[in-house]
Amino acid sequence: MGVKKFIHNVLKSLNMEDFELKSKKKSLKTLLQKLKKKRVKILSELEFESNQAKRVIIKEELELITFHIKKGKKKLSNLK
Amino acid sequence: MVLGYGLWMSPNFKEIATGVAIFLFGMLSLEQGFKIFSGGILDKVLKKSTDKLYKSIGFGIISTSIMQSSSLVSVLTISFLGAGLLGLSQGIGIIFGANLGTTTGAWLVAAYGLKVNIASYAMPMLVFGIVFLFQKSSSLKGIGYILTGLGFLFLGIHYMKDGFEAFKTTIDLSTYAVGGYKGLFIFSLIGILATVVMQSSHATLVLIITALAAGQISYENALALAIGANVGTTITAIIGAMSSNIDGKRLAAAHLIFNLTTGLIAIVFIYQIMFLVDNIASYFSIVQDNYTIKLAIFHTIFNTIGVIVMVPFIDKLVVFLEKLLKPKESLDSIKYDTVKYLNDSVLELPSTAMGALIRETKHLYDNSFEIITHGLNLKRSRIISSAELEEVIRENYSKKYINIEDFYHHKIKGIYGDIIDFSAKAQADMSPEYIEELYKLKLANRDMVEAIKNTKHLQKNIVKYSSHTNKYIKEEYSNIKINLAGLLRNVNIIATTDEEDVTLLLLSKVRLNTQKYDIISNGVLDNLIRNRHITNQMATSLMNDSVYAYNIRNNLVNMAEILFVERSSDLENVKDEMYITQGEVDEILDKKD
Repeated sequence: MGVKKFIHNVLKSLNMEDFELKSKKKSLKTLLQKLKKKRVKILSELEFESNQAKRVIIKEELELITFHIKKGKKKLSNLK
Repeated sequence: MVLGYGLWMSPNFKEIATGVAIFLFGMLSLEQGFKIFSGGILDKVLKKSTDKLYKSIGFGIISTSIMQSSSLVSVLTISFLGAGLLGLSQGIGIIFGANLGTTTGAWLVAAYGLKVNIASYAMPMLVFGIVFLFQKSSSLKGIGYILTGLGFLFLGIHYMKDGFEAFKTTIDLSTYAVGGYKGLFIFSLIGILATVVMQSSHATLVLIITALAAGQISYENALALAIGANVGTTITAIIGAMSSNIDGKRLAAAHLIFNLTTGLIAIVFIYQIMFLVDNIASYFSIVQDNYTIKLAIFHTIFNTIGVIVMVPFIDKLVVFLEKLLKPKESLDSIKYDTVKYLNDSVLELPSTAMGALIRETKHLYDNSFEIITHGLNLKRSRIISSAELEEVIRENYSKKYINIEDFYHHKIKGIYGDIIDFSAKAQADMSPEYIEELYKLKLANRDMVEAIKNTKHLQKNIVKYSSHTNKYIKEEYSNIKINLAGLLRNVNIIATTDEEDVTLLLLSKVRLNTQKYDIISNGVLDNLIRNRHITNQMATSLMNDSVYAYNIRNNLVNMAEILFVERSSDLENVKDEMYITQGEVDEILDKKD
């Protein structure tokens, strides 16, 4: 048995074959959770902000975070 | 000459010397193997296992027991300290632990190495070791080095054992034994000298044990030699620290102080410790003339006593060393800034070299941030505060603009040059993954330097037009200034936060703003010219300066993406998927239009 095959068998027996892919999925899920929490925080900030200039900035942040959540979800479904 | 004469005159001496040489070569090979493996994981393990003193000591014991080389552990510790991955007291803890870990070597040789035909194990290890050495994979090469190292260690012990056995028939060295305290001091000095020459207390100890087993030296003199070997081993750390920073030198001094104190305690209380060894030996039914095992017990006891005595004084030792060894302050140090983390000791491992380079790049970032802020006539303290940006840009840093060129020469050029020079050296021993990471880090450094140069071009007109009578040009330059102030504030938050969602959001925001505030592409400049609000000369200046401002934004966001996303974080793992692309920026801005 060649060295590569041996390493492959060891990884297979340890259920670590697609380790990189699994690690990416895990990271994406964790990041998405954080982004969702941040979105809730921004939404409540927007609710209580009366200054118009600041509201514009917060709205921009909200748009960006919504964009990233959508993007993250799409990437996650592509990885599955 | 003495060595040559010895080899010429005595075939037995030749056999012993060959054994020592093979043993030392084995140590080198073993060290090489562990260095290959230690690269990626050691810094992660270090962070988790050295945050408390008992953990540092435990780490020292375990790593030395596995690697069978306290010298390697101490040199690596100096390297980690040099790279800023460890604090001095943590480093001292590891060194204390390494002294305990090294006693396992004496046990292995005394209990196992002398009783079995160790050379028969050496041969298959050497054969497989060499086969693995020829493989392309660095992990297999690492295994190859370790197997070859162990093979040579075993072979070396075999030759030393045989040499001393044969020596017995021709000359009896035990007739040169010296008793009492006089003998203790003489043989301790010989032990120190032998270890300094061989650079390995392990090799000296094996030599002592094999000589003791062959009856060539007396038990008391063997104990003195072991004490000497313990003191002599500090030479490796001292040599290693010569190329290290001040903390590395302090650690080597701590190592010397610890081993000297332990040695002195062992000499003063030698008879009490020997009594304790006899009692322990009889308790475990070890025959009284089994001197090799008794030597191993002695070695463990006196090192344990050393640790117990010294541990309560670690904090005082740190304070003492900080007072004793102070960094050199040159006359220029007030003006010229130099590298903080780059020194030859961190080149020991790719991970320490990379760690030091990242820290040094962050150091360069601190200086760049200061120069760009002051170059734009802004106060750094106000940028990093939560004050309104309109207020921040109204407060000038100084009445006349600062000399960026001068600042660049004093705070950037030297450090940047050293980073590039050091990267070239570090790259020689790095894997392709590390080399790629290093390349990106070099780009981050270049981006900072470029950002400073762009600030220099922008500076003159920022000052000139910020107080101009033409309200249109004044407003545009105020906008440039306020946008750059906002950028600097966001980059500072990215640099200091550990919340990945904040980092991702701000990186995207900065990218988006870079495009949004580009007055050439957003049509503002065309409007000003078309409506004759500004002169042709003003338009040319504004066009050039908006390019400089655009470049500064790009430089800083590119740098932040590389430098401030924590290695092995979730964001780093999915950055290719999650970072905003230029196409996405355009799409978002098009929607708004």
